[in-house]
Amino acid sequence: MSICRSAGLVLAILLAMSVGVALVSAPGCVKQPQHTDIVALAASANTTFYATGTLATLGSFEWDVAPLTTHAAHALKDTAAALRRGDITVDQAKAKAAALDHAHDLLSRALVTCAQDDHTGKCTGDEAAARKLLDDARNALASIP
Amino acid sequence: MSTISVKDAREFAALLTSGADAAEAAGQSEFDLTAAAEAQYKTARADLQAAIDQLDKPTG
Repeated sequence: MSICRSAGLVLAILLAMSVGVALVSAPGCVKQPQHTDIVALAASANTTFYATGTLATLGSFEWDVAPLTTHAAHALKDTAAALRRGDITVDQAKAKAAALDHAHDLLSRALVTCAQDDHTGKCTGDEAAARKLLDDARNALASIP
Repeated sequence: MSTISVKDAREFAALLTSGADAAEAAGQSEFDLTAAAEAQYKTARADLQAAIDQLDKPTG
């Protein structure tokens, strides 16, 4: 391969990496985890996600569930902080905790229903039912004020 | 097209970072993403329950 062709290849790789980073840094609208997005996200977070074993499961069902679990966890943290500040009542905090627990339960059931294979990243159970539970959980979380 | 909010993306990125840091500190090259997210939820849930219990004392 000539030097020019090698340089062209390097430029193409750099351009592809730039596109991946742009996908996750676009304000307000980021695509749901795709392979390129997650790799770029991991790179921006300065992590070591390039390990081969981890890349095998990128884009799998668990990668769809985990951000929603994280969202619910942060909603719990926000609720606790608001309660301690006196911005909400104990009853309001209890209601929000119950709603988040419901969404979390749906996520847990989705994981069990999918029964993801650790090596292939594919559902070995009922993927359609698992996706339905995932959608229900997403809607439940979105409906919590 | 599916979307994720900037806030959720940053929170998820923080989970990836903390999980990677913990795994690296333990000498491991990978970690269980679902377990890390579950642990985060359980910790936050316990903290909220503690706040509720502290303020939910019967008056009288």
